[in-house]
Amino acid sequence: MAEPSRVLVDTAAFYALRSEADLFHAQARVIYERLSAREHELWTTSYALVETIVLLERRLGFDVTMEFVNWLEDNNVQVLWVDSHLHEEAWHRYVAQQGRGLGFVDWTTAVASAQLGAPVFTFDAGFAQAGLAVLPV
Amino acid sequence: MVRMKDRDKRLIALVEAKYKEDPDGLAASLPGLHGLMSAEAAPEPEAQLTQPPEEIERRKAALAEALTKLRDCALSPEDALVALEHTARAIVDDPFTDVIGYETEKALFKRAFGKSPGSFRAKTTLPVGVGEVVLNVTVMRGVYLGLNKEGQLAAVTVNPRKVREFRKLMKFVGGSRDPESDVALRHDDYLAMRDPHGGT
Repeated sequence: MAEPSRVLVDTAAFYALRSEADLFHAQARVIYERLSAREHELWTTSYALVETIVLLERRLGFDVTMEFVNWLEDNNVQVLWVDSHLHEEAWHRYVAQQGRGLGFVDWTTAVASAQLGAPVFTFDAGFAQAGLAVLPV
Repeated sequence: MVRMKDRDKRLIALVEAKYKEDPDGLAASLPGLHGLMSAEAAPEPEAQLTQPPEEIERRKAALAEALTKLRDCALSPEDALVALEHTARAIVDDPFTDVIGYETEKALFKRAFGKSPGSFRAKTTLPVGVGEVVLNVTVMRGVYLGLNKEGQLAAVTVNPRKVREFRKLMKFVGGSRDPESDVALRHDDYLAMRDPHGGT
Protein backbone atom coordinates (compact mmCIF):
# COMPACT_ATOMS: atom_id res chain seq x y z
CA MET A 1 0.00 0.00 0.00
CA ALA A 2 1.29 3.44 -0.83
CA GLU A 3 1.85 5.37 2.37
CA PRO A 4 -0.92 7.93 2.92
CA SER A 5 0.54 11.42 2.91
CA ARG A 6 0.06 13.58 5.95
CA VAL A 7 -1.74 16.90 5.79
CA LEU A 8 -1.83 19.46 8.59
CA VAL A 9 -5.20 21.22 8.80
CA ASP A 10 -5.31 24.87 9.87
CA THR A 11 -8.15 26.76 11.57
CA ALA A 12 -9.02 28.58 8.34
CA ALA A 13 -9.58 25.30 6.51
CA PHE A 14 -11.72 23.80 9.29
CA TYR A 15 -13.91 26.90 9.36
CA ALA A 16 -14.21 27.21 5.58
CA LEU A 17 -15.30 23.58 5.44
CA ARG A 18 -18.21 24.22 7.78
CA SER A 19 -19.59 27.62 6.80
CA GLU A 20 -21.29 27.49 3.41
CA ALA A 21 -21.22 31.29 3.25
CA ASP A 22 -17.45 31.43 3.47
CA LEU A 23 -15.50 32.68 0.46
CA PHE A 24 -13.37 29.55 0.58
CA HIS A 25 -16.08 26.99 1.26
CA ALA A 26 -16.28 25.51 -2.25
CA GLN A 27 -12.51 25.20 -2.51
CA ALA A 28 -12.24 23.69 0.97
CA ARG A 29 -14.93 21.13 0.12
CA VAL A 30 -13.15 19.99 -3.06
CA ILE A 31 -9.80 19.63 -1.30
CA TYR A 32 -11.21 17.86 1.74
CA GLU A 33 -13.20 15.49 -0.50
CA ARG A 34 -9.95 14.60 -2.27
CA LEU A 35 -8.01 14.13 0.95
CA SER A 36 -10.74 12.01 2.48
CA ALA A 37 -11.24 9.93 -0.67
CA ARG A 38 -7.51 9.16 -0.90
CA GLU A 39 -7.32 8.36 2.81
CA HIS A 40 -4.72 10.98 3.59
CA GLU A 41 -3.64 11.17 7.22
CA LEU A 42 -5.11 14.38 8.66
CA TRP A 43 -3.34 16.19 11.49
CA THR A 44 -3.84 19.38 13.41
CA THR A 45 -2.05 20.99 16.34
CA SER A 46 -3.50 21.41 19.81
CA TYR A 47 -3.26 25.20 19.40
CA ALA A 48 -5.15 25.20 16.08
CA LEU A 49 -7.68 22.88 17.67
CA VAL A 50 -8.31 25.30 20.55
CA GLU A 51 -8.52 28.19 18.10
CA THR A 52 -11.06 26.33 15.93
CA ILE A 53 -13.17 25.28 18.91
CA VAL A 54 -13.34 28.87 20.20
CA LEU A 55 -14.13 30.24 16.73
CA LEU A 56 -16.86 27.67 16.04
CA GLU A 57 -18.44 28.15 19.45
CA ARG A 58 -18.50 31.94 19.09
CA ARG A 59 -19.66 32.08 15.48
CA LEU A 60 -21.80 28.98 15.02
CA GLY A 61 -22.67 27.79 18.52
CA PHE A 62 -22.14 24.91 20.91
CA ASP A 63 -23.89 22.20 18.87
CA VAL A 64 -21.70 22.79 15.83
CA THR A 65 -18.63 22.73 18.08
CA MET A 66 -19.65 19.35 19.46
CA GLU A 67 -20.31 18.10 15.96
CA PHE A 68 -16.80 19.22 15.01
CA VAL A 69 -15.14 17.39 17.90
CA ASN A 70 -17.07 14.19 17.14
CA TRP A 71 -16.18 14.52 13.46
CA LEU A 72 -12.49 14.80 14.36
CA GLU A 73 -12.76 11.48 16.16
CA ASP A 74 -14.65 9.79 13.30
CA ASN A 75 -12.08 11.17 10.89
CA ASN A 76 -9.25 9.90 13.06
CA VAL A 77 -7.66 13.37 12.86
CA GLN A 78 -4.36 13.18 14.74
CA VAL A 79 -3.55 15.97 17.16
CA LEU A 80 0.05 17.08 17.54
CA TRP A 81 0.17 18.35 21.11
CA VAL A 82 2.33 21.46 21.23
CA ASP A 83 5.09 20.90 23.78
CA SER A 84 7.51 23.42 25.26
CA HIS A 85 10.07 22.75 22.52
CA LEU A 86 7.61 23.39 19.68
CA HIS A 87 6.17 26.38 21.52
CA GLU A 88 9.61 27.96 22.00
CA GLU A 89 10.67 27.28 18.42
CA ALA A 90 7.50 28.96 17.16
CA TRP A 91 8.01 31.86 19.56
CA HIS A 92 11.59 32.41 18.31
CA ARG A 93 10.37 32.55 14.73
CA TYR A 94 7.51 34.87 15.62
CA VAL A 95 9.89 37.21 17.45
CA ALA A 96 12.42 37.05 14.62
CA GLN A 97 9.71 38.34 12.27
CA GLN A 98 8.82 41.00 14.84
CA GLY A 99 5.16 40.00 14.67
CA ARG A 100 4.90 40.66 10.94
CA GLY A 101 3.33 38.04 8.67
CA LEU A 102 2.21 34.90 10.46
CA GLY A 103 0.73 35.09 13.94
CA PHE A 104 2.13 33.08 16.84
CA VAL A 105 -0.38 30.20 16.54
CA ASP A 106 0.38 30.08 12.80
CA TRP A 107 4.07 29.72 13.62
CA THR A 108 3.29 26.69 15.80
CA THR A 109 1.52 25.23 12.75
CA ALA A 110 4.53 26.08 10.58
CA VAL A 111 6.96 24.32 12.93
CA ALA A 112 4.59 21.34 13.23
CA SER A 113 4.37 21.19 9.44
CA ALA A 114 8.14 20.81 9.23
CA GLN A 115 8.15 18.19 12.00
CA LEU A 116 5.49 16.10 10.31
CA GLY A 117 6.69 16.67 6.76
CA ALA A 118 3.13 17.69 5.92
CA PRO A 119 1.75 20.52 3.79
CA VAL A 120 -0.66 22.89 5.52
CA PHE A 121 -4.29 22.90 4.37
CA THR A 122 -5.10 26.59 4.77
CA PHE A 123 -6.37 29.73 3.07
CA ASP A 124 -3.92 31.99 4.84
CA ALA A 125 -1.46 33.21 2.19
CA GLY A 126 1.09 33.92 4.94
CA PHE A 127 2.07 30.24 5.09
CA ALA A 128 3.12 30.11 1.44
CA GLN A 129 4.86 33.46 1.82
CA ALA A 130 6.82 31.95 4.72
CA GLY A 131 8.00 29.21 2.36
CA LEU A 132 5.77 26.38 3.58
CA ALA A 133 4.16 23.74 1.37
CA VAL A 134 0.44 24.42 1.33
CA LEU A 135 -2.86 23.11 0.02
CA PRO A 136 -4.35 24.53 -2.12
CA VAL A 137 -1.15 25.20 -4.04
CA MET B 1 44.32 6.45 3.68
CA VAL B 2 44.05 4.90 0.22
CA ARG B 3 44.74 1.48 1.71
CA MET B 4 41.91 1.99 4.22
CA LYS B 5 39.53 2.84 1.40
CA ASP B 6 40.53 -0.32 -0.46
CA ARG B 7 39.99 -2.34 2.66
CA ASP B 8 36.54 -0.77 3.17
CA LYS B 9 35.58 -1.61 -0.40
CA ARG B 10 36.71 -5.22 0.06
CA LEU B 11 34.74 -5.50 3.28
CA ILE B 12 31.59 -4.12 1.64
CA ALA B 13 32.02 -6.49 -1.31
CA LEU B 14 32.41 -9.44 1.09
CA VAL B 15 29.27 -8.48 3.03
CA GLU B 16 27.31 -8.04 -0.20
CA ALA B 17 28.49 -11.44 -1.45
CA LYS B 18 27.55 -13.05 1.86
CA TYR B 19 24.11 -11.39 1.73
CA LYS B 20 23.44 -12.61 -1.81
CA GLU B 21 24.70 -16.11 -1.04
CA ASP B 22 22.92 -16.65 2.28
CA PRO B 23 20.59 -13.83 3.37
CA ASP B 24 18.98 -15.96 6.12
CA GLY B 25 22.39 -16.81 7.58
CA LEU B 26 23.28 -13.13 7.70
CA ALA B 27 19.92 -12.37 9.34
CA ALA B 28 20.62 -14.95 12.05
CA SER B 29 24.18 -13.86 12.82
CA LEU B 30 24.00 -10.09 12.19
CA PRO B 31 20.34 -9.00 12.17
CA GLY B 32 21.17 -5.27 12.16
CA LEU B 33 23.38 -5.59 9.12
CA HIS B 34 20.80 -7.80 7.40
CA GLY B 35 18.12 -5.14 7.94
CA LEU B 36 20.38 -2.54 6.40
CA MET B 37 21.18 -4.73 3.40
CA SER B 38 17.49 -5.59 2.84
CA ALA B 39 16.53 -1.92 2.90
CA GLU B 40 19.31 -1.14 0.44
CA ALA B 41 18.38 -4.03 -1.83
CA ALA B 42 14.60 -3.49 -1.88
CA PRO B 43 13.48 -1.33 -4.78
CA GLU B 44 11.29 1.65 -3.93
CA PRO B 45 8.00 0.81 -5.66
CA GLU B 46 7.04 4.45 -6.05
CA ALA B 47 10.46 5.31 -7.46
CA GLN B 48 10.10 2.42 -9.88
CA LEU B 49 6.71 3.70 -11.01
CA THR B 50 7.75 7.31 -11.41
CA GLN B 51 6.97 8.39 -14.95
CA PRO B 52 8.94 10.62 -17.29
CA PRO B 53 7.21 13.96 -18.05
CA GLU B 54 6.14 12.93 -21.56
CA GLU B 55 4.46 9.79 -20.19
CA ILE B 56 2.65 11.90 -17.57
CA GLU B 57 1.34 14.15 -20.34
CA ARG B 58 0.34 11.20 -22.50
CA ARG B 59 -1.64 9.61 -19.68
CA LYS B 60 -3.23 12.94 -18.75
CA ALA B 61 -4.44 13.43 -22.33
CA ALA B 62 -5.68 9.83 -22.51
CA LEU B 63 -7.57 10.28 -19.23
CA ALA B 64 -9.18 13.51 -20.46
CA GLU B 65 -10.32 11.69 -23.60
CA ALA B 66 -11.71 8.81 -21.55
CA LEU B 67 -13.64 11.21 -19.31
CA THR B 68 -15.18 12.88 -22.35
CA LYS B 69 -16.29 9.45 -23.58
CA LEU B 70 -17.64 8.65 -20.12
CA ARG B 71 -19.79 11.80 -20.18
CA ASP B 72 -21.03 10.83 -23.65
CA CYS B 73 -21.78 7.28 -22.44
CA ALA B 74 -19.30 5.99 -25.06
CA LEU B 75 -16.61 4.52 -22.79
CA SER B 76 -16.16 0.75 -22.85
CA PRO B 77 -15.57 -1.14 -19.57
CA GLU B 78 -12.06 -2.03 -20.81
CA ASP B 79 -11.24 1.62 -21.45
CA ALA B 80 -12.69 2.54 -18.05
CA LEU B 81 -10.13 0.19 -16.48
CA VAL B 82 -7.33 1.86 -18.41
CA ALA B 83 -8.63 5.24 -17.25
CA LEU B 84 -8.54 4.00 -13.65
CA GLU B 85 -4.92 2.98 -14.22
CA HIS B 86 -4.17 6.52 -15.47
CA THR B 87 -5.63 8.03 -12.29
CA ALA B 88 -3.60 5.65 -10.11
CA ARG B 89 -0.39 6.63 -11.90
CA ALA B 90 -1.23 10.32 -11.55
CA ILE B 91 -1.73 9.84 -7.79
CA VAL B 92 1.60 8.00 -7.48
CA ASP B 93 3.29 10.99 -9.12
CA ASP B 94 1.42 13.53 -7.01
CA PRO B 95 -0.70 12.35 -4.06
CA PHE B 96 -2.59 15.67 -4.08
CA THR B 97 -3.27 15.81 -7.82
CA ASP B 98 -6.63 17.26 -8.84
CA VAL B 99 -6.70 15.14 -11.99
CA ILE B 100 -10.07 13.61 -11.10
CA GLY B 101 -12.86 14.13 -8.57
CA TYR B 102 -14.61 11.59 -6.35
CA GLU B 103 -17.88 11.35 -8.28
CA THR B 104 -16.09 10.95 -11.62
CA GLU B 105 -13.85 8.28 -10.14
CA LYS B 106 -16.94 6.48 -8.88
CA ALA B 107 -18.57 6.71 -12.31
CA LEU B 108 -15.43 5.23 -13.92
CA PHE B 109 -15.45 2.37 -11.43
CA LYS B 110 -19.12 1.69 -12.13
CA ARG B 111 -18.47 1.68 -15.87
CA ALA B 112 -15.57 -0.75 -15.42
CA PHE B 113 -17.30 -3.21 -13.10
CA GLY B 114 -21.01 -2.64 -13.70
CA LYS B 115 -21.64 -1.80 -10.05
CA SER B 116 -20.67 0.92 -7.61
CA PRO B 117 -18.02 0.31 -4.93
CA GLY B 118 -20.67 0.80 -2.23
CA SER B 119 -22.66 -2.21 -3.47
CA PHE B 120 -19.99 -4.75 -2.49
CA ARG B 121 -20.94 -6.74 0.61
CA ALA B 122 -17.49 -7.91 1.67
CA LYS B 123 -13.89 -6.99 1.03
CA THR B 124 -13.17 -8.21 -2.49
CA THR B 125 -10.12 -8.32 -4.74
CA LEU B 126 -10.85 -8.35 -8.45
CA PRO B 127 -8.00 -9.50 -10.70
CA VAL B 128 -8.05 -7.31 -13.78
CA GLY B 129 -4.59 -7.69 -15.26
CA VAL B 130 -1.36 -9.60 -15.10
CA GLY B 131 1.53 -9.67 -12.67
CA GLU B 132 1.97 -9.27 -8.96
CA VAL B 133 0.72 -6.13 -7.23
CA VAL B 134 3.68 -4.09 -5.97
CA LEU B 135 1.75 -0.99 -4.97
CA ASN B 136 -1.84 -0.32 -3.96
CA VAL B 137 -3.04 3.19 -4.71
CA THR B 138 -6.09 4.62 -2.92
CA VAL B 139 -8.26 6.39 -5.45
CA MET B 140 -11.55 6.48 -3.56
CA ARG B 141 -11.90 5.70 0.10
CA GLY B 142 -12.07 1.89 0.27
CA VAL B 143 -11.03 1.33 -3.37
CA TYR B 144 -7.42 0.35 -3.95
CA LEU B 145 -5.90 0.01 -7.39
CA GLY B 146 -3.09 -2.56 -7.41
CA LEU B 147 -0.29 -1.78 -9.85
CA ASN B 148 2.25 -4.32 -11.05
CA LYS B 149 5.94 -3.50 -11.38
CA GLU B 150 5.36 -2.17 -14.91
CA GLY B 151 2.83 0.26 -13.46
CA GLN B 152 -0.14 -1.49 -15.04
CA LEU B 153 -3.38 -2.22 -13.26
CA ALA B 154 -3.25 -5.79 -11.97
CA ALA B 155 -6.03 -5.94 -9.38
CA VAL B 156 -8.67 -3.81 -7.71
CA THR B 157 -9.57 -4.26 -4.06
CA VAL B 158 -12.80 -2.92 -2.59
CA ASN B 159 -13.38 -2.58 1.14
CA PRO B 160 -17.08 -1.68 1.52
CA ARG B 161 -16.67 -0.64 5.17
CA LYS B 162 -14.15 2.02 4.15
CA VAL B 163 -16.28 3.01 1.14
CA ARG B 164 -19.22 3.73 3.47
CA GLU B 165 -17.05 5.93 5.71
CA PHE B 166 -16.79 8.57 3.00
CA ARG B 167 -20.37 9.87 3.32
CA LYS B 168 -20.05 9.99 7.10
CA LEU B 169 -16.84 12.01 6.87
CA MET B 170 -18.45 14.54 4.53
CA LYS B 171 -21.30 15.16 7.01
CA PHE B 172 -19.52 17.98 8.85
CA VAL B 173 -18.91 19.83 5.58
CA GLY B 174 -21.40 22.66 5.09
CA GLY B 175 -24.58 22.80 7.11
CA SER B 176 -23.88 26.20 8.70
CA ARG B 177 -23.98 29.72 7.32
CA ASP B 178 -21.99 32.38 9.10
CA PRO B 179 -23.43 35.83 8.23
CA GLU B 180 -19.88 36.89 7.37
CA SER B 181 -18.00 35.39 4.42
CA ASP B 182 -14.43 36.24 5.45
CA VAL B 183 -14.20 34.43 8.78
CA ALA B 184 -11.83 31.68 7.58
CA LEU B 185 -9.42 34.23 6.17
CA ARG B 186 -9.65 36.72 9.04
CA HIS B 187 -10.21 34.29 11.90
CA ASP B 188 -7.51 36.00 14.00
CA ASP B 189 -9.45 39.28 13.82
CA TYR B 190 -12.76 37.58 14.65
CA LEU B 191 -11.18 35.79 17.60
CA ALA B 192 -9.83 39.11 18.91
CA MET B 193 -13.32 40.65 18.93
CA ARG B 194 -15.21 40.94 22.20
CA ASP B 195 -16.74 37.67 23.36
CA PRO B 196 -20.52 37.88 22.84
CA HIS B 197 -20.95 36.23 26.27
CA GLY B 198 -19.47 39.28 27.96
CA GLY B 199 -15.80 38.29 28.25
CA THR B 200 -12.99 39.85 26.31
